[in-house]
Amino acid sequence: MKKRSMLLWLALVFLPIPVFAESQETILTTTIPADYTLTIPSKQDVAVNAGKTALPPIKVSGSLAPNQAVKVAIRKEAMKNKDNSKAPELPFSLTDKTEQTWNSGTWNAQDAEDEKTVALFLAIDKDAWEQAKPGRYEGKIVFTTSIE
Amino acid sequence: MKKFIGTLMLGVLAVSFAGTVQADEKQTDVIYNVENSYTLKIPAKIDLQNLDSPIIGTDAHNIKPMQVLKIQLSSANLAIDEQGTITLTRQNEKGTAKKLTTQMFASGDLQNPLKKDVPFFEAEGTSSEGSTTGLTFTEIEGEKPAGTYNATLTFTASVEDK
Repeated sequence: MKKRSMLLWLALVFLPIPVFAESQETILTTTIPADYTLTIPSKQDVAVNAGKTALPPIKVSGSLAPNQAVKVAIRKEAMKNKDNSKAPELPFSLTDKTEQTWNSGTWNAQDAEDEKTVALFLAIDKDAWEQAKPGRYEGKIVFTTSIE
Repeated sequence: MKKFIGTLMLGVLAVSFAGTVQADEKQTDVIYNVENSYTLKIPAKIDLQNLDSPIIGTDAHNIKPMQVLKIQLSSANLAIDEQGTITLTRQNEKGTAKKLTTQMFASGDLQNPLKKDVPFFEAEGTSSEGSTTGLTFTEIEGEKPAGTYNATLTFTASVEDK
């Protein structure tokens, strides 16, 4: 009996005492906001009777998060005769290089980093030219960007 | 003579009674053991953009004498190198991950960044209110392309003998 007690005592004395460790996690985070520039032509002259006029290419350049994209949409204001308010408007459309109507485009993070350009053309139908009256026509294309 | 004999007998009886008393002492140890207890105060999230004086430590602790509670960065932290530089990785990355770096300091010591396996916080004794230390970070370094960057930090707490 004494021997067993002694063994137990020795075991208690010499056994290593475990150190219990507890772990917890912290998420460290920071967000760098998107920073981009849309480049568009400020002015474009159109030759009389021109069916298709090339515009300087538009582009989005800058830094977007991988899950972000910049959408560029247009709003057109038809060309009006500034010298003759009774003259019919001169409607136009924008097309891409495949001659598809272009109303909006999207640039993802890689496109913005690569500064991808899009070639656009201003198209006016022959019929519209035939309806036009003498005078200076002015129209407007408003480009709007949004992050998606 | 009778009185003498009576006194003698009383004396003999008294002596022999005293001789039969045996004292046997035994001890009983009364033990009540209160184990160490502590509640850690470790932030679940630290936003470096909106740093709101993060703190780390205990909400309360009750530590045995000759022992101390220590908190350190775990050796399992993959986002921290041996010099204590923390790497944050851009989320939702499709190509090569963009990274930013920072360093973390405690107790207002801006000279020695916190490193893995090196305790930076200690608590002793008993406190119902606990004790804490503030955490600070160096300015984010890197190219900084847009996005959300994360790093997971694992803190380990253990009670050790002094």
